[in-house]
Amino acid sequence: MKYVLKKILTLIIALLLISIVVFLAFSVIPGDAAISKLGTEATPERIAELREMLGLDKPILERYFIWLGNAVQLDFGTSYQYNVSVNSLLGTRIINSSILSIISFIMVIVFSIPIGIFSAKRRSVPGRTAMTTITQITMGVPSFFLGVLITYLFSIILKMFRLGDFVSPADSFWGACAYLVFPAIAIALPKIAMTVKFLTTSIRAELHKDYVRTAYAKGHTKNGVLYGHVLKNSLVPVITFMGVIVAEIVAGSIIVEKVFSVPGVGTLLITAITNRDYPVVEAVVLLFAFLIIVINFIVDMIYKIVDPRVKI
Amino acid sequence: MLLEVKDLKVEFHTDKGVTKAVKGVSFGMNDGEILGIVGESGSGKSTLGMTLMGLLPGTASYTGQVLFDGADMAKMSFEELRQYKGDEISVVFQEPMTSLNPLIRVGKQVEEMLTLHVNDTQDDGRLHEKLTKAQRKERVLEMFRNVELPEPEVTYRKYPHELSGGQQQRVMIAMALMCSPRLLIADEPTTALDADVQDQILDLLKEINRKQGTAIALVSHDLRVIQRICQNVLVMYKGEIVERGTVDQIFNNPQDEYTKQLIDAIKQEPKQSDLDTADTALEVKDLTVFYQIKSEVLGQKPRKKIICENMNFEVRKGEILGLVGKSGSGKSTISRAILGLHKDYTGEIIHHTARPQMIFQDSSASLNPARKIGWILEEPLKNQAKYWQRQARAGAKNIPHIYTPEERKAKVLDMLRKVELPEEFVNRYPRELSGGQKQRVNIALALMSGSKFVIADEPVSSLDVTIQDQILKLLLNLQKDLGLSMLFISHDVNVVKRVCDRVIHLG
Repeated sequence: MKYVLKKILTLIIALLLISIVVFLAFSVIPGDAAISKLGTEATPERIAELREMLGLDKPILERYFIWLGNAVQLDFGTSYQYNVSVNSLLGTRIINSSILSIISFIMVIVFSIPIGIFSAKRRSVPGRTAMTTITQITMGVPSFFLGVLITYLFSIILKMFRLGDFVSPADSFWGACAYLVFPAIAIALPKIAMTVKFLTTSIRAELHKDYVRTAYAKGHTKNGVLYGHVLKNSLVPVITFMGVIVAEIVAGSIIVEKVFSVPGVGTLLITAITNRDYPVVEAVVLLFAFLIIVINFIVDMIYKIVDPRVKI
Repeated sequence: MLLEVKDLKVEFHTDKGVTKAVKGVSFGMNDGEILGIVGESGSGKSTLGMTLMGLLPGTASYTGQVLFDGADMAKMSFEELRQYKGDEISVVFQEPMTSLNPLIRVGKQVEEMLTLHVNDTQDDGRLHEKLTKAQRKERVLEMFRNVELPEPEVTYRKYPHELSGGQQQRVMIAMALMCSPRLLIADEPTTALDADVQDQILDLLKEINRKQGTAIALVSHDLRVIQRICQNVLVMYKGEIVERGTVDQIFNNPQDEYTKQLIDAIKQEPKQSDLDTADTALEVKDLTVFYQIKSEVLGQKPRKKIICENMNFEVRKGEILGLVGKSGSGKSTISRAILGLHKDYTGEIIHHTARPQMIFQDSSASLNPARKIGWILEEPLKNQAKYWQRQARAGAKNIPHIYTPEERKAKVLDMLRKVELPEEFVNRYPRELSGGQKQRVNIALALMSGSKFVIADEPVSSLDVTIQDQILKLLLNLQKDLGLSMLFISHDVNVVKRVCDRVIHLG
């Protein structure tokens, strides 16, 4: 209970600090929403008028506290660019992005555990070298570039999907999933490689532990030792690693959404930054931060359940 | 004959070449016999035990015959051998904590033996019946009672880390005995345990042997352990059996030179103290040492965990004072408080000499692996020189003589002579030295700064008996020659009796 309270406190402090940093960043970089909305041709009077309307003429501290006051009530203001509330703007996009992230995460789990076990079982030098080479290369390819390759392969050559033909999950949930599988592959592949490498190392390290010798002494088969004793132990550090992976998936989806023209939070964030639409930027950044902190909290909880030695 | 080993040779193949661990060993064991296999680390005794269990690592290969009940295990495949493991031959290892799977409840780990062997449909000529889950659990609980584990139902649901070392070892023994094996290999089963727990575990092994007739091969470096329960003994040295016989023969009439050394090492007379000085090197008054446990809630005062309360003692000049206690009794924390490394204490610690230096148990971990011995030994003098140079620049008076680099090198060589190491060791790295040699370097390091007061925390606990003997002799010589005062911390009463002038027991 104490632990939960402590975590909530950390969460609030972190969100506050992040919101301040974003606010400061926007006051430091040149240009503002009024200029980017009206274009360089606009008259200074017109710009001044719009700034007053948007509240940009007020001192930064005052603006921050007005924003904070509303944000506490979960009202993140109105987008400068779209003239609609940030909340309604985010609504459907959060769903799209969540589906994308969840599919990516499921792919990481489903593929990296069996491949990791397979890789750890390779004993011969060529087998090991092959596995290392494959994982290293896959790890090194950036997701957006993979996105381009996947588009080319699945869309242009195999014609399995049409780029930009995204169906909203409100219309067809499975239709949306079918489209999102492809960007998910782009996001998940490097993460799968990272997890495979991590799990392989973890399993190999566990195999040298004393309890493995005990398991053999009990008369286990090799697979009995691996699945009955080693695997659970070697997955413990992987749980912590998953926290990092989830954060990377969320961050990685920003660019990949753009590549695949998915109307998600990431695409929104990129346009909002270019247009100096900071109510939107604030909201998205805070959302990401909130997610990552909560996920880490969940990881801690799972850790505690799996490993009885951990005390929180 | 239950077990017959004929001309067994074991080799390890590493990048550096071939190491012969066991060089042609032959012996036999009868049903119900307790055979002791004694030797120091590197003698091949553990390798021998692991060979019998088919647990050698992939880098090892062996030739010769290992006949168990007439069947040659050396010719068996992994699968054939597996039928014997845990069922006919079981093993108990040295480190019960790491030998148990940390994530599985101990009851389940023991129960696994039954699913592996009793429910095994393979026909190995023994009568096996299928057991239900409830029956399996009942058998485990019964075994827990046999090995005298407290509250079997509660223990069944515990994880290894929730048990004490002795309890963990009892769980290991329960596991090994679950399928009533005919041979139990106990590889240093008591080495990691406190003295009184050691005796309990040995008594338990003896009891099992008497009741169930299980033959036990007890591998140990400690002759006292062997003497306590074994009937016959093999003495191993550098991969060969140098002497064999009954316990009485070996102890009362040893023939081999190495066996004689081993027995001499444990038959040492207690030290007769002839100290008559009243000068003290260290005074400890009303010392209470504790740990602060941080509170989870803001504003709540931290709790104190008391390690020891109201300790009063003094170390006289030129005296070795023993501090004896079980693991967890606070011996090391007290020494840290005296050194000034642990600040949470009340009471007084008065030093009448320069601050004490420390000798630790793990001789390798305390030496920087990237530096040569000469550099390591010179470092305290360099630090001293730097300190006084700074003081001199700051205008301080009474600067003592600052050693030049040449003088420092000479002092290092001199110190190596004092700890009976050859001078060429200045150019060696710690990894090139044996455990005993490294501990000598640690002793030299502690004396380097000129301190006459040393705290030695289990300085010989991880060394072989014969090496222990040499290090203890060295410490006694240094005490005499240099007038060294020492606080000697140990769990081993026999070692303490040998070197200490007075002893304090911790509860």
